[in-house]
Amino acid sequence: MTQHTPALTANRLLDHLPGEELEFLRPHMEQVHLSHGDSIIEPHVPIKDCYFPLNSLLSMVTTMEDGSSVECGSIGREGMSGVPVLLDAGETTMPTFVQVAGDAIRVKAAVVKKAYDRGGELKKILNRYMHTIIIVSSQSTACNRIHRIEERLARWLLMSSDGVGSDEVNITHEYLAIMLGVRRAGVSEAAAKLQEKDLIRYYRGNVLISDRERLEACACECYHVVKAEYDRLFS
Amino acid sequence: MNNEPQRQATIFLVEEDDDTRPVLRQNLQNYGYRVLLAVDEEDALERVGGGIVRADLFLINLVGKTPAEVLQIGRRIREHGKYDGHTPLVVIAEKYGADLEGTNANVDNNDWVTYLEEPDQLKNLLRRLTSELWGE
Repeated sequence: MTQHTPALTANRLLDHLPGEELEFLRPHMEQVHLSHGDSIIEPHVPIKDCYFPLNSLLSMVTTMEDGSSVECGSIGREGMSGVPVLLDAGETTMPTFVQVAGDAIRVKAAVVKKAYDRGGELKKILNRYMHTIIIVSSQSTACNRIHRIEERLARWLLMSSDGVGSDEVNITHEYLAIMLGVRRAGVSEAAAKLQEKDLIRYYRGNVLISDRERLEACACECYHVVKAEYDRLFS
Repeated sequence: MNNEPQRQATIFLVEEDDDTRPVLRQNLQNYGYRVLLAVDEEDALERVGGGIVRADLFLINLVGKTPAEVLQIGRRIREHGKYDGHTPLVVIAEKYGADLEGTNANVDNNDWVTYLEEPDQLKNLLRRLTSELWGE
């Protein structure tokens, strides 16, 4: 089977870099394939590499003492993992793992930090990206507290679809439940409702967005707020 | 395609989870069922007490319990409402492995445990069980 290899500019951050700054990073870039479940960041372990997803999706989760987990952010082709390094924190409490398999560009965290400290366009782009992480995190907190489960599911699917650059997202009910911080039955019934409306098609481990326009209409305001902020800063 | 059951069956739904309850109830109503709702075991026992409430099927989803525990609670609710053991009882499992995903287990007589994965799975199981009630 021929596998399409995405260009590194599939990542929006890399795509926005001026040629000279991209050339600074290029010798240190390594295109890697990430498999579902791969650990990207372990809690309280120094971050050695930054990943710029091309068509993969990473999830940052918060895990409680009883083992329950909720996603507090995702990283797709709009972003990168390893932000704590830029902020001189070096490590973090939140694990990050691969949610949707695919390709990414891996760069040593020390190299990204050096490029960031040089200033220039890279620093501005990454500062804007960090601002969007705060927006997503704040919006998600309010969303999980206030919005209905089917609205949240629609938001998550749209954001993930944007993140991997495809209308098809590979994910099981079990992981959707973790991502949304809800029980599995809730995800099943919310998916059933969206499928009844012909907005998505779910088949074991895959969700296909069949009517994006109507799914956007069904999603809560949070998707539109976050997307508008990304577009304002990166278009 | 007609999604409606041929007769309007009544489902007694016990759903503890505040997130799941509204969407589950709405889906059941959209499938054509009349839904009687209880938010937990205590509420369910109170509602079925005295045999006033008549339901064709019990559907139960409780937080933090194994399917076996929920089955026992469901049977207790059914007996308290003076139903016989033929009234179907469906338990929605909470945590399970990939080997069970998408399956429905007939654990005893008309008692079932469903391990949800496909969106149509619950709809199809309920339709089958309510159709069998009337020999359709």
